[in-house]
Amino acid sequence: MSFFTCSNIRLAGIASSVPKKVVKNSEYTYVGEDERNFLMKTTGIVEKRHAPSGITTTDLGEKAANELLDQLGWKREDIDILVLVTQSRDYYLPSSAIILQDRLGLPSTCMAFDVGLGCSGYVYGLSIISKFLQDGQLKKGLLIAGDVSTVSTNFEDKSTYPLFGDAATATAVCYDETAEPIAFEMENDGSGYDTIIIRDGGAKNQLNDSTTQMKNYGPGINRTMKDLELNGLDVFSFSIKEPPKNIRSILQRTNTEISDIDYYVFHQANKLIIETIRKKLKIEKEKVPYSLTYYGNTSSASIPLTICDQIKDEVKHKRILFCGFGVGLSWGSCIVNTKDILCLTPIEF
Amino acid sequence: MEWKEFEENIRETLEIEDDIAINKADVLENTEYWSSMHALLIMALAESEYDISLTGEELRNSKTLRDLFDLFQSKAG
Repeated sequence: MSFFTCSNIRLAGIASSVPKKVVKNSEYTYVGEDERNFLMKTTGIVEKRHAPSGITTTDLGEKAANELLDQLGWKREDIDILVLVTQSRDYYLPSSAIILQDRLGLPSTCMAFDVGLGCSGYVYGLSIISKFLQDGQLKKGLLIAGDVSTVSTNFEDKSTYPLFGDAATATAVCYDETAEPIAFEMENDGSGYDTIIIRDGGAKNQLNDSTTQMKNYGPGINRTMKDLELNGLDVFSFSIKEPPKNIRSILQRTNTEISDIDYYVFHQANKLIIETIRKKLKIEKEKVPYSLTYYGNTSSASIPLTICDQIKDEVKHKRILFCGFGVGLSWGSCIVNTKDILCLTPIEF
Repeated sequence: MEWKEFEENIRETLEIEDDIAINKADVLENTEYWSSMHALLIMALAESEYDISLTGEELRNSKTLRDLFDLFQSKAG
């Protein structure tokens, strides 16, 4: 189990950007009305945002980052590192982070690279950027996290289409000797690699003539090999089993009681998963904010988007636990003691 | 774990009306109260009420309500 701490790290601000287009699950006519209502009740997802064709994580991330940098008054030339967490990069190559470095007007001395993680990605990304910044040689960093998952969800697949929304976020992270250490505990299990998967389009299964052929995989589940495939039962089983263990462990290692944490910000997978975790750990309802109701599952953007959407004015000088879990399988938590932090209302793109 | 307690929890979790009879021999796929989403509710019930972790495979292999009851009983120890 990877447990570690990063000292001298302060989260200076968080911004998020979502597409304007709202897609309501009440209008998901691919399934009947009863099933639609049951789906909304169980997942908690009423609507989500879909990016228009050609608009990507890079575009949404650029919008969020520019707004955040301007509001913080950070100069572009002072940014030393840019980490982009996404599984929907613009091109097979190069890294989207490098494209973003140019578009944001960051100097060539700003190191920039992509991290290919999904729902656990915000916590992993934060750990990576914190490690680079903690000794003070690099002073300021930008963590961009998000996905345009809807490019990979098939309308005729009820196990994915109603769940996912598009969003990207920017988090400003800086070296600050007065900041309290951030504790991280990260895990993964590659035996579940095909629990959430897009099978074709990588080097293993390159695009071929059959990639775009629709196939049936059960009632209400039609998709192609370029679409997102999600094994609901196995994902659910993993999600309610491993994250609670991970949280108990990080709390124990940091001598923290459940009640010591002001907010638990979970990856917004679905309401049933988060509620099951919350009940299992006996966390008060008020400490668990939700953004999935109006944004759905936004992959690595979900934790910072939830902060921006639900608790942006209440996160200064708080002890907050972030927990991300999903595709990989990959999961992890961190405990952040915030100081002054600027969180912006979600921006429409 | 007694059948009566299990039945009550199943009824509450899956929101099965009192006037609908449920029996151990019910083949889940053939009932109106079962779907892939309902299976998730059963998993959540097991985890939050009984502290039992069920795998997707175990649920897929449970064909009848009796299979589910037996699975809960065996896991509850």
